[in-house]
Amino acid sequence: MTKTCDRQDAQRDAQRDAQDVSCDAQRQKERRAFLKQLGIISGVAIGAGYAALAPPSWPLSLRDPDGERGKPRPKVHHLPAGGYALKDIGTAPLGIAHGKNIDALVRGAIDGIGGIKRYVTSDDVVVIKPNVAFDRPAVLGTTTNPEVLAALIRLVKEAGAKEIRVTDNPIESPESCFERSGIRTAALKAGARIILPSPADFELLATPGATHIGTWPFFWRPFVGATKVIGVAPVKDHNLCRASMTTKNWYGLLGGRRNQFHQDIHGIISDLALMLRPTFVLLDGSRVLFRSGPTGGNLSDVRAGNTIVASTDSLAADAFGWDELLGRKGEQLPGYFQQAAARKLGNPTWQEARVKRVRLG
Amino acid sequence: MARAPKRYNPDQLFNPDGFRHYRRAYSHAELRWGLSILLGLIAILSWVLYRGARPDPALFAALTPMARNPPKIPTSTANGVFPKDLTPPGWRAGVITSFDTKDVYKKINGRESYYKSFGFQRLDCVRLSQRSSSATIDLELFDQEQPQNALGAYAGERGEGQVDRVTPGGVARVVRNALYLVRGRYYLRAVGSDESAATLTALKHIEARFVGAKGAAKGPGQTLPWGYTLLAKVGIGAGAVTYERENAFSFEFAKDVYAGRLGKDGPQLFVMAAASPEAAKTLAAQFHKSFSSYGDAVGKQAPGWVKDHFIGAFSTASAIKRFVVGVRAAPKLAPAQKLLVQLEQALPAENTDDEDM
Repeated sequence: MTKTCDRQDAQRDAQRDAQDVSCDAQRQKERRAFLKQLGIISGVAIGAGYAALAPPSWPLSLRDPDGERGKPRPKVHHLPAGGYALKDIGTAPLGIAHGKNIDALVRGAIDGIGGIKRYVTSDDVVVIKPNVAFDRPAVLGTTTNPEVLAALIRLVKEAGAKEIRVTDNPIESPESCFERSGIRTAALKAGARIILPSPADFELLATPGATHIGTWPFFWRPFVGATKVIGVAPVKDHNLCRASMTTKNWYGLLGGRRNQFHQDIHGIISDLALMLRPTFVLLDGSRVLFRSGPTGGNLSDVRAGNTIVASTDSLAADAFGWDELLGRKGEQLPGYFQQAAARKLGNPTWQEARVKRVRLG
Repeated sequence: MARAPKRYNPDQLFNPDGFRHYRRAYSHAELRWGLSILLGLIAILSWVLYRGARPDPALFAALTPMARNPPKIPTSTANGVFPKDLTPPGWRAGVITSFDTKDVYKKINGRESYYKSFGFQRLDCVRLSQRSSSATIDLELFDQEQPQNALGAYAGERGEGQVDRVTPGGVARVVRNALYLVRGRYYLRAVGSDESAATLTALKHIEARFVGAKGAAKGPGQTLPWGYTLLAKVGIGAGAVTYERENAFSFEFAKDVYAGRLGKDGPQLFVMAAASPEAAKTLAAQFHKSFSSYGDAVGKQAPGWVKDHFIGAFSTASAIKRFVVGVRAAPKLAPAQKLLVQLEQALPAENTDDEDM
């Protein structure tokens, strides 16, 4: 009997021991789960605390004390490094053609810098930027001569360009400016595509080193996929910068409140030379607006220039225009020449270029 | 196959099925509150829709007049600040667009500062188109605040050899394809797209309408500014007079200067009014000093004349009462001295207000 009781006691003890072991295991499991979840919550809390409170410059910080970081960040674009200029040009060439036949003049000037096939190949998408700044007939000399533009388009087409885009962003109604200046008809007839600006076509462009337009809205759409850029600008007197030619022509690609740049007109033109390095420029000296620019309005302010200049150096082309087309040789060049030259963006001493001058019919 | 029920895990801290409710029933009070809130939201939505469909007219008061009243496109006549019956027969007028000091750059970007330097206030533009051809005339009417400003802007755009005509209350010239006209404080540029006979006839029509406009006749342009009258007395017609609001002859101190040249290469006479006789003396001394910076004094008699180092021409300035009169770039000294005397004698009485001269 005693033995039986002892056996029962032993069994009870064993069961109790087993239960104790089970309870300990359960408690351990609960503690582990608790610690695990506590760890997760603590980690999340610490992470969120860091992201919220760490100074904005620290990695992964989301702190936004002035709300600036919360603003949407538009994409900033860059033009190709070195622009659209050909490499290994060496001393800038300057092709000058005098005469009255526009087609011959454009071809002659471009032949003077090596011919169109040197600059445009069959794979190229070419952007041509005339000056269509005002809603005036071309004969008043405030816009690029449409005949010069058409001749240029035909040449570029002849070189086999895949696509030719003609574009500008006048402050006045673009449709009206393109129509009235004759640029629209000339471009379409010659086989180019016209791209007129709309608000959605502007993107921020970064121009490292620029004083005024480090990051500025730019008429971007025509440049999507473009491989070559050619500027073709008239020779105009200008009320503020004294002369508007191929370098000033890029002003028409800026968006935003660009008129504010008139307060430092030479600085902004120097920036423009930095912003866009074209494949080459064509200075349209077929007519010269020598007075009352840039708006003009009177035929007596315009004289025949009978000259087209081509160059890879817009400063050289413009300096030639200043001396020989505007007839201001001996007068000090406008300030933007010096500023752009100081940035090594060209050489206003055009006589130092490889000048090839021809007289045509 | 039926889905096995999720096993209840008493250790789970977060509810894995957050959208599931576990209550079997709701009280009537909760139901009533819920319905009340729903009805309230529906009422707010209805109010928003109702008000949205019936906006308060006062909300639109701040919009520009053009937005409220789109401009009518006149078919036979221009309107607004332009005279009635301006549109020549056979032409039609487009929409008038207006610009003020803040947005004039949109129309004449790059040249707006020129007009602003002459007190620009407002620009109204309208295009006239010939019905039978593509010829156009762009009218640009500048409000320059003061007649002398309008005349100054006008004179600054005069090319060499261009001849002006004096019209009642102003001056005008037609140069090839364009008419330039000043009447009172308004400066009109009418730019033709060509110089055809039709365009020139239309320009004449426009000039006649502006000169004969009743509104302008009552305005300040009925008489030319005093400087024009004064210089006319020494033989310089109003068409040859220029007005420099500031920086005359590139001298920073020279403001509100009327000047005119006698003949193509003759001497230039000038006059300006100072605030007082003392101020006039100071200004005359400044002119003399500036002339001397590129010339040598001639003789010892007052007023001192200066002979230019480079072109050999003679210049001087003297103060008479509260006026400064002078001669610039005179080829010969003796005739220039006589002209200066004539100009001094032509000056009005001391108590005359320069606005009334």
